[in-house]
Amino acid sequence: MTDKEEYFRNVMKDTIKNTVQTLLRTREFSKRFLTRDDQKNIDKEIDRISDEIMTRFISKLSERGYLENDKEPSESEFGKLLKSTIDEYFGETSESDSK
Amino acid sequence: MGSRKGPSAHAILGSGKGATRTQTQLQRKLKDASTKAVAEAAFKAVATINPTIEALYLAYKVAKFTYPIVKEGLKEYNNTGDKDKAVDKMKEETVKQIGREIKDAAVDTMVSASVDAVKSAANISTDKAADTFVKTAVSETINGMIK
Repeated sequence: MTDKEEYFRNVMKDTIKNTVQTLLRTREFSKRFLTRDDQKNIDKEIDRISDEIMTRFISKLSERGYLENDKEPSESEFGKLLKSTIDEYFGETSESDSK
Repeated sequence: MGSRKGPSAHAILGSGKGATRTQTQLQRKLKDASTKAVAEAAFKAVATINPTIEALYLAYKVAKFTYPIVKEGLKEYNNTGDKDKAVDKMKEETVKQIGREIKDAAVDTMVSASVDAVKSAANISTDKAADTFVKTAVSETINGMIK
C-alpha cells in the first residue's frame, strides 16, 4: 500500500467504521455476522470488519484511478462503489445499486 | 413469534435527523415486514442514507486535497526532525492550496480551512455532523503522523 492509500484509509476509517457499527449494533446483523465469542468483543470485531471493507474499497478506488488528482468520481458513483463493497461483504444485493 | 420482529427505526437510524424517503420506506417496512425484510431494509437504509455517504465522500475529497499538505510537512519533519518546522511547511503548502494566508498554524485550524475550501471548490453542502466527522479524522491523521 502506498503512503497515499494509507493516508486515505486513515482519513476515511471513522466514517466506514460508523457505517459498519450501525449495521452490527442492530440485532439482526449482529446475529448473522457475529459469533457468540465475537459478541463479547464486538468493538474488536467492528474494527476488523471495517478494516476489511476499507481495504476492498480503497482497492476499488485505486483500480479506477480515483486516488490520482486528475480523476474524480461523482458523489453518486462514489456512493454506489462503497455500497457495492459493503454488499459484497455482507452478502446482500441492494435493489437500488443499479448502474 | 408474537414479539417484536426486529430493531426499531430509531435504533437503526438514530434520532431521525434529516429524514429521507429511504427512512419513510424503512419505517413502513418496519411496521409489518418479516425479520429478514427488516434486516435488509436496515442494511439498505444505512448503506444508502445521508449523511454517512456524504461524510465519506467529503472525507475522500478532503483527503485528496490535504495529502500534498501533509506530504510536504512529513518531508520537512523527516529532514529536520522539527515538528514546528513541519507545521510551518504544512502551513505554507496550505496557503498554496487554498490561495490565502492562514493566520494560525494549528493543525485543527488548517484542517478546518481545508475542509471549508474543498466544500466551496467542489460545491458540496454538508451538515455539521459530516463536517465534524471529517475534520476530526483529518486532524487526527495529521497529528498522528507528525508525533
